Amino acid sequence: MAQTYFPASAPPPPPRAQRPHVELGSEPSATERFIAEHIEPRHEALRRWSSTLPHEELLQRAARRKKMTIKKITDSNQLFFLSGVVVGGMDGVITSLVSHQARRVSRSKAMTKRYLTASDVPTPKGKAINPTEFSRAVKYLKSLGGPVTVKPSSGRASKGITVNVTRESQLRQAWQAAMAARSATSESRYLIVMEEYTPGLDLRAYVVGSTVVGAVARLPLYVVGDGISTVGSLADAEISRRGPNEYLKGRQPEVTNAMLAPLELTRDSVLPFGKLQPLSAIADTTRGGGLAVDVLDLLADELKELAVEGLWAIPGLGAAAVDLLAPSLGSAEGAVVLDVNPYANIMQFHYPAYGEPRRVNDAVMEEILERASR
Amino acid sequence: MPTELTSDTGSHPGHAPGDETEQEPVTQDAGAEAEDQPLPENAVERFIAEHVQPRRHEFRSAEQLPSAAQLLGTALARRRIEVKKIVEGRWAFYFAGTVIGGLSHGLTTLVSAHARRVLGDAEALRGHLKLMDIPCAEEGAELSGLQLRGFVVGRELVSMLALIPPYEYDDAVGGPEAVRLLDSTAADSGAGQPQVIAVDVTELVSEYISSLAVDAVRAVPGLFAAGVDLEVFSLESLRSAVVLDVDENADLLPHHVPTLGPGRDVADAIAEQILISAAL
Repeated sequence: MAQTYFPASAPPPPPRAQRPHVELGSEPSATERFIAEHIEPRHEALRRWSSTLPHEELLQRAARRKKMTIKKITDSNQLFFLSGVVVGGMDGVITSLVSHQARRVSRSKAMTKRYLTASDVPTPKGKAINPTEFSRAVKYLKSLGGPVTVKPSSGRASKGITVNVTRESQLRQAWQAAMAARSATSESRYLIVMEEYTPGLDLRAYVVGSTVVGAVARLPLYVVGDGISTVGSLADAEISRRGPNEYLKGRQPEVTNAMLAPLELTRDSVLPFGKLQPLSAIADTTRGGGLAVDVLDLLADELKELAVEGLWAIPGLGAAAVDLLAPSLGSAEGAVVLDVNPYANIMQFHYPAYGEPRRVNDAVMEEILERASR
Repeated sequence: MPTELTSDTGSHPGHAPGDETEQEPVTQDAGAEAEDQPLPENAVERFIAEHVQPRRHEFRSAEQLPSAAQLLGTALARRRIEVKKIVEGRWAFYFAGTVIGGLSHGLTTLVSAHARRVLGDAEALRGHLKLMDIPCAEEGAELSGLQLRGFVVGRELVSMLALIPPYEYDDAVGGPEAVRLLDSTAADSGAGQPQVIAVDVTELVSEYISSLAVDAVRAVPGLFAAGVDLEVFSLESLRSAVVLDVDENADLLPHHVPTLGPGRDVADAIAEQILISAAL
């Protein structure tokens, strides 16, 4: 056996550090269990997307594949033609599969809840409260008797959402965060939704017609302690690791002490060996370093059915993302529908961090053609 | 239903071959007259003299009318579609326990969000119509022809009304020259004329005019029910016909209960289209 020769002047290379095996606590959350079971074993197999297409272009390419031609009236108003006949179009990011009623409903989480409830689709108990009525919010927190989630009724991209609120002081901070998330384009009647906090794995299913064509588990940015490295260095290494992934590259946060403060951590904190530590309470896949992991083949049929029921509860909605919280992928027991979102960006289904890419764009275009033929 | 041309030689509907009176010129173009023929004048007066005055005694008088929502509700109920109120102004339609559509502040789910935005902008609508080579009136154009208001559901024209102002008719003169149009805002309610006289002409318009209305709605993506306003100079010909507007919020009631004519069940067609769109 050949011997490895090291010149006397050069020290031997240090042994490569093994990624610590995750040690789950006594009551791991559904997210932590999912990470331990499905992500950590293939941690190194992070997808490398060398280039990506934006949402609109994914849909345009699918249209052309189906022999449609596209004409732009304006940048935000496009028509799809097949054999000279208008079969559909895009208004901004939504297609003509979205009725006027569905669009109005989807702009309000409170209104979406009403439609879900009317169709007996399980959704967390909650209500919408005027931002000026904080005292009502406090009363409601007490009446629910358990942790709540606070979020703006309108608004997207995980802004202003606080989960697991149990005390008035937390509620006050959450209230301010929800109000700060109000954008200039929000409707004048801005409400804040309080609902029972339902722990579970954050899932986003993309439903077209009566089929789930894509499903991702959305995970927060997390690190695994090794007993030596600081949280800051672990986070920086993780973010750096994502560099070759063109989809993830621009979606990473700056991990600061302010970001870590709600977790009672700082960049200099050292985690025990094997400790799985999410760095945010919610999975923000837009700018918060969250990961979208393809789980379409793992999703139980009953969860898929629940997602379809969520879509169908909104009149005139032919395609949208349905957000669910589920205790596990294998069952719909305890699962709830949080939101139905026709504005959802389909890129995360096409460019998951782990798992298979799903051609949601093709399914959308097929549905457009099918409906035009009715 | 639109009057069918009997042959490609353009023989005028309702007239036997060889009839010398009021024959339209032969043309190859669908519904178009020869370009060198002058545009018919007094289109409104001619229409009144020919189609309205002889049946003036049949005008409907003011009566207790259902609302458009009630008409739609009845049509949905006939198809065992349950209507459930979500909040004020918003309803969901259920068939066999499944949501198949809904109504929100007067608009059904046969109107896409995209269509709503296009129709809210007259210039955007003109852009869509021009892209499809559908003749449309320019902004501010003066209207001198006969105003038609159609209702298209799916790919069919369900109803077409001619809308005319109140008028006086001199029996001693007769013909179009006997008609004097009145200002609708000054209509004398005591004379029993409505401010606008709606005449059911669904059976009288040619297939070319029907197609123009249908094409106008189809030019707007995700639109499966809407009113269409047209200006025409003849019920048979497309010559100089233009689309004035497409209205996703058009009132059903005048189509159901016009001033003159049988009326058409537009609500029923909408309910049927809602079922078709749900593909159940």
